[in-house]
Amino acid sequence: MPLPADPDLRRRSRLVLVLCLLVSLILLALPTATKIAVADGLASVLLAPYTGTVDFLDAVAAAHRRNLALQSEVAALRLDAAACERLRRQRDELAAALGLVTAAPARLVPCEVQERRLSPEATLVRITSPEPVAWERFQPVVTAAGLFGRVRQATSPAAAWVELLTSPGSAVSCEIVRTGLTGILEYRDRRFRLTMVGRDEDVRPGDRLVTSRIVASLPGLGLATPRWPAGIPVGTVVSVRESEDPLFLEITVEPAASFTRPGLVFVVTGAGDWYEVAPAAGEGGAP
Amino acid sequence: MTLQQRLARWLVLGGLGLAWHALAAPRLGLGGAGPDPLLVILGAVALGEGPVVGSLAGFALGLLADLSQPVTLGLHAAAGALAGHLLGRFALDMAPGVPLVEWSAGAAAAAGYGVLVLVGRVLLAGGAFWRPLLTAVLPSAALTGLLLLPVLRLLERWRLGGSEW
Repeated sequence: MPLPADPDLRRRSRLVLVLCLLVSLILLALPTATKIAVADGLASVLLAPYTGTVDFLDAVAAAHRRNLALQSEVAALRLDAAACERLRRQRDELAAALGLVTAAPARLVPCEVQERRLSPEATLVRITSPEPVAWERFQPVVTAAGLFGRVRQATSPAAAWVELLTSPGSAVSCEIVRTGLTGILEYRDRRFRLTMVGRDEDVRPGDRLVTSRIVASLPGLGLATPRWPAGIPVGTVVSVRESEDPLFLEITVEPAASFTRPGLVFVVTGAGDWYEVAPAAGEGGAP
Repeated sequence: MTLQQRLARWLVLGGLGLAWHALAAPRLGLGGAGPDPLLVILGAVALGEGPVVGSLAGFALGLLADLSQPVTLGLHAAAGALAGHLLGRFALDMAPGVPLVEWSAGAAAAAGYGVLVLVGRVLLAGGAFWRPLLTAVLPSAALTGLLLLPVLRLLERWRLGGSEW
């Protein structure tokens, strides 16, 4: 059935045709370089939805491939972790059979920070636990990120004052994970420094520090490190410089834990090394 | 049916046609010449909507075709606008629905479009005329007209062919 032949429609259609032809002729009359530039501009506008869709689909496909690769990597890592767990258990059993392990495994008791007290001698926070804790002087206190401080004084079975690592006079015996090199972490001049590390030792920025079992004492400075479980994360080496001291390096350390926003903290009970503990899932033990 | 709904349906048809043009059209050729999906879409739009929309659709589809050949930018747009206008006028003046008439209109519009583009290309960039005309343009126009028929029947069946304009 033919469409209605409206004279207005015919005029309008001729006008539209003339306009379209005019624009086309103008485009045709442009210099070649301008034509290419116009075509590029038009293509980027008109084909943007298409290219956007294609890019999105490419990204989805890449993410899918990456996901598959990561899944296989995770599966391999899980197998490795299971093998490591078996080896760790065998090692613990052998060490126990040989009488090398005497300490009970370390355990974490969650506590909340209730109060902060600043004094020239120390920066203290009062923590409380929902359950009674077997408090001991100088027990390590950690956050989810790393070492936070040490127990200074218990005020009740479920509360104690904790001295932060930033307190003057606190010292921690540390070990560099990469090399096993030991040193003492001190807080001086508003910076953490790893001291007692010889000038010829291999220390690099980015090296991670954990607590060491080795007890160190500095009688001249009146410092002594407590005996703590080994392997608690402490911080990362930020810079290494040769100091004026002819014997030792000057090593600056960024602490792992935040002292201004600690959130939940944990008291470490028991003396077993951090990395020797293999807790059952959900028991809140050390990793 | 509102203008937005009509625009939406033609946009969907255009999207499908473009996808077909990009994916399947190269495999539909006979002896090197195949139907042009863009002209099939143009034929369906112009016969369904009239000369105004036909001209605009032809211009837009031609401009899309021009983007791949920037040296002759505007050539396909002009030819498309003319083909769309003529097909729209055909819808006003004659009675679509007779397959032979529709095939003739579609093939004639496709042939006119092809000849215009070929002439423009020869004038602007040089090259042969008669050989591509006989081996590519005219067979392609015949196949385009042939392919237009089932598309028109499909649109009629789905009530996509409007007659408001």
